[in-house]
Amino acid sequence: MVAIDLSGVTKTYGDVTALQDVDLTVESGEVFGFLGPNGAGKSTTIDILLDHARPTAGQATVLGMDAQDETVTVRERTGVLPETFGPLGEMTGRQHVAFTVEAKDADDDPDSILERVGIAHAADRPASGYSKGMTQRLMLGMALVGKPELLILDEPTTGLDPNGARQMRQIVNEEADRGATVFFSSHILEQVEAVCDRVGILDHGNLVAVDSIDGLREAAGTTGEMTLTLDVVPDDLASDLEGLEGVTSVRVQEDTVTVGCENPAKGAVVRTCQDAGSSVENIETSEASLEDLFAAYTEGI
Amino acid sequence: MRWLQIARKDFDDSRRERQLYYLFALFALVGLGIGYFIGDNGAMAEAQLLPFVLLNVFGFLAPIVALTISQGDIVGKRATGELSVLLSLPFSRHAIVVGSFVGRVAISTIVLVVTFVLATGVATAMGAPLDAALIAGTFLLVWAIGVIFTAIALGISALTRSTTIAAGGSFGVFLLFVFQLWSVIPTGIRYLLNGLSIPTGPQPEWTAVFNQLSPFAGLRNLSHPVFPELLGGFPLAPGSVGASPPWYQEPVFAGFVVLAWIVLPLAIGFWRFQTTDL
Repeated sequence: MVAIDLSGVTKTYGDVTALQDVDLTVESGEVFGFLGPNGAGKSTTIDILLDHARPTAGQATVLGMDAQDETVTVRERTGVLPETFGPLGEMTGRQHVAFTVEAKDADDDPDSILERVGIAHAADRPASGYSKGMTQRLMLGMALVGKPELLILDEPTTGLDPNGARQMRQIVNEEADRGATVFFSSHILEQVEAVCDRVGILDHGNLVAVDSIDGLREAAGTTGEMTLTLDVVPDDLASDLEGLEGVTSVRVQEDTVTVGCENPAKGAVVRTCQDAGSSVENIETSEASLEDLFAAYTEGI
Repeated sequence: MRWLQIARKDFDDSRRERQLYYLFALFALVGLGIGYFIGDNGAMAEAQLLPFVLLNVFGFLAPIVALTISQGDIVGKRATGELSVLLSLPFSRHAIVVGSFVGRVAISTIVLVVTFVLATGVATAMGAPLDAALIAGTFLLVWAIGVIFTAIALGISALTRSTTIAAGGSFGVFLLFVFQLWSVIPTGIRYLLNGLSIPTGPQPEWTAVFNQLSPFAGLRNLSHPVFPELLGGFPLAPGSVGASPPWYQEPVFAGFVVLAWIVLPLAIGFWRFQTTDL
């Protein structure tokens, strides 16, 4: 089943294009990370899914329902952590969750929800006095009410301390294990890498890539680096290495050679060094970080 | 019935933010003062005096309070992010507007009931004569004024994204109807039509019709047949109602005017609210 489907979605504000002909399908049960720099259109996409904004062109469906015409039913079955949020009047934390339980016709115990997001100690205080991070935890708690089929979380880890970010990941994993689809946006790459089945990269309103992280690595060719420590570095070694297939960069610094290359080329790199008369004393390899991947897609490197 | 949850929340918000208590304090104090004043002069007072004073004092206060407490209701929630939380829960925009309206009307109802009971209680306890039907009618009139201005203020609040425009707009409404700039408009139009010089000759009929379209005039014209003694001099409404009123002062026409001042602001505000992005 399809949880989220965008087809040809375009959104313009005056002459600014926030989203350009975006097609995206998120399968039910997936954890989907929506990546992109600030201002790429992530929140606009989420606004369209929740009918907080209307697309200029194209169509969005959520859980098989039209995001615009059936928005209330969509939101009955979806838990949302919106981009901008403010406390509901002067309600306490517990009253916030109880209000959500009533609105969603659910039967959750507000205290156990607050426990789960780590703000049970503040249950009786008005949420208007909460810190940003606590309010965010409260909003996440409200999103969990009623065991929704779909969770839409806009930048869920922004504003959380490292411990909070870890709890957030844990909750996302638990919800995914329960069978929920999770769609969340982020510009913090480690968060996405840690929990997502697939990611989409959005840049300037264009969806530039959708794949698993491994798939993206492969497709972008930013596979990794190998650092070799040699006893001597012959003068023409660098140019020999650059001539190898699959090698993208070579950097020489004293007795170390750093080679950016795809995995299959690594053997040839080592052989070339040995053939040049060097003995290899140490080899370190690293995979391309998601940072490199991100840069490759959004800056056209 | 999700609008009911919004209405209850709106009412509870007012209580939790202590706004309700300030309103109670203000209105109860004025109500007690009026009751005491009438009761103190009980011997010479006619039964019409208390309703007359109540109508003219609260007919003036109710719009100000309704505009003040309602103009920021929706636009303010938009500014704080509360609206985006509510619209992430299964509430339609329709439920937000209707619920806020019902919630605000509930607040003004309870405040006015208490005020009228206090004022009447004190006055009669001190020996002033009581005309219960007239008091009830006065209550309904003041209540209707509150409802109309709540609808206008909420309409403005749903219409705009700017809290400044909402505040300015409701002040404009105050100037227009309570301060009665409304009845200056026809003269202004005639002045413009006359090539920027003072118009001469008799007032055309449309100026009289326009004047009678103000919400206060509508309420006065609607209720005048029932309470002629109460509304004979109602300074908030322009003109007066004669023995055989023209068509635009007929109660049926006036009923539509009153209804329009409730329905149209809400409908226009909702239409705009429904079609804009958050």
